[in-house]
Amino acid sequence: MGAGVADRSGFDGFVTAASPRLLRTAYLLTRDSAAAQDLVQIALVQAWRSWGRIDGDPLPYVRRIMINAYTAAWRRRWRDEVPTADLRDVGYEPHGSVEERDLVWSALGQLPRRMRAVLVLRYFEDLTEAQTAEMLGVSVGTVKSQSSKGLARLRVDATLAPASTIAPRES
Amino acid sequence: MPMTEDDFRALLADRSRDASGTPDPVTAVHHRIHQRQVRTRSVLAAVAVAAIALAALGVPSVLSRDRNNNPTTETIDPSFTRPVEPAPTMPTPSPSPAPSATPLPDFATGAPVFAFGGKLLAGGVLHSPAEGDITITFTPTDWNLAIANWCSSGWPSDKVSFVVTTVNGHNLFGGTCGAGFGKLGDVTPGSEEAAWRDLGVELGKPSTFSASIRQGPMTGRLPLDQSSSPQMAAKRPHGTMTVGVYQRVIVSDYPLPDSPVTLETPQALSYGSTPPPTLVTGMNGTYAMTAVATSDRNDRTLLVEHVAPGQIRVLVNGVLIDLVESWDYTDASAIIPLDVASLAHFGVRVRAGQKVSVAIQTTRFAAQRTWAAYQQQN
Repeated sequence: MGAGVADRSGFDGFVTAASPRLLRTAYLLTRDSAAAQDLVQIALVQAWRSWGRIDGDPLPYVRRIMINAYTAAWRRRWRDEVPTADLRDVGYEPHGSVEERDLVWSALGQLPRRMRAVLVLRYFEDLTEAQTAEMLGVSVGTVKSQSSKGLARLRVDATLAPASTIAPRES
Repeated sequence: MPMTEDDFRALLADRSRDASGTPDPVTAVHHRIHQRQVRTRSVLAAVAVAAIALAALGVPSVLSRDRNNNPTTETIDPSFTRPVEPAPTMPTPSPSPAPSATPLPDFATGAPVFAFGGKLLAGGVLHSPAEGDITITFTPTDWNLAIANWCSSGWPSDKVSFVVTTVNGHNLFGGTCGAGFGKLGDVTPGSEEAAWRDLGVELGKPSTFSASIRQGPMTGRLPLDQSSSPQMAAKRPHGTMTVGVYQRVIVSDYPLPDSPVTLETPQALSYGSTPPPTLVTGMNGTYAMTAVATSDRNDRTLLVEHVAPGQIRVLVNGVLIDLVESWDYTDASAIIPLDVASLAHFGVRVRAGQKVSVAIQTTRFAAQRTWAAYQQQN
């Protein structure tokens, strides 16, 4: 259990390999490069402490620590969380325009952090609803609900996606 | 027409792409591990790294008061190697109402006067250099202190920023720029005093808090402000590191922000139709639940969420293990480990898998259902 006796072989290699992906996820959560680095570091340091006890792929474990750290806002509030009175209406301009993408990106930053985490895990990490639920420690129903509400607030219309991309991810 | 799911996926991939540039991550993480080890040895075995709450007021100040409520002068050390803008001294406090602690960070004007339920003892801002040091002097009159440092997002984009902090020359905390830092101790009586004494702090005597920012190489490009909307980018002054030392004030002296017209609902209470089986909520009182002790610190943690000012005491088997306080209307939460090692630190001896009784004691909440607590499921 002591930090000095744990087998930490492979830790440095994991850090090198996994950091880019973790940083991207962390950036989507925090929307701030420094905060993203910090969030990844928090997760990696915690993982280092229990490295010898991790069975299998450590990535889900580290990602979970990171998500937990992110949602623990009381302990560590990211400075780019700037509350605003209301979300701007994204409107129905031609999809994919620069302005619309900026507005959706801006709106993403104003979602409650766990709702944002659901969307990032589902649509960036491509986790299934079950995996996302496990990661966040909530029910699958919660993930469905939060995902649906989050997309609605971003004015992302799932029904417009090609059939191949909106096929249920849960079997 | 609305964006499609595919558009949204592409947007996430695109906006995060530049963030994948890794600034020698192995060095960075070992640097942080080393700093934690140093600090753990020098301060406490169980350090509760708490939050940095950026409740900026837009009125920077360097201010402290002694036990007789007389203002004392705090200084910014002129020896820092880069230009530092000391926050101007506030006039003698008047009996007029204290300013509201609005949770809107303003990195241009220095540390917020009130944060963490405390009042700023000393603060300062380091502007724009890639590397630099800042030292502030503070004179505490109470052991209930908190230290904060944070960076704006405009630091050089091609390198990673490390922040190393010391108190009276003793290592305190190190990490990437952006790390927040709060109180040193936990709820164990005397832990705050012991932690600060280990750092050479004495009540009524000046101590120094120093923060140094250094750069490391980075292979990629990080900041994405430029790719955000102009409105978002304009909100963020660039290139500042702000530090502050806070001392707790009595609750009645702390300027809570005005309540919003519509209070948020804790997400724990709005999740679908299947609330966690251990979920408790209410207003002020004692609320009981049964939880399970775990073997892993990160498993089945207790989540305490709040959306309004108030205080939440968490007891396991009758022993106080954490104190969660909120000072604004931000939806935020604390994750409290229920593993056997963490509980043993507080004298709660249990086995993994054993049921424990958890009591949530809440005070100072002004409305029902502005907090919730439950053990997360796996």
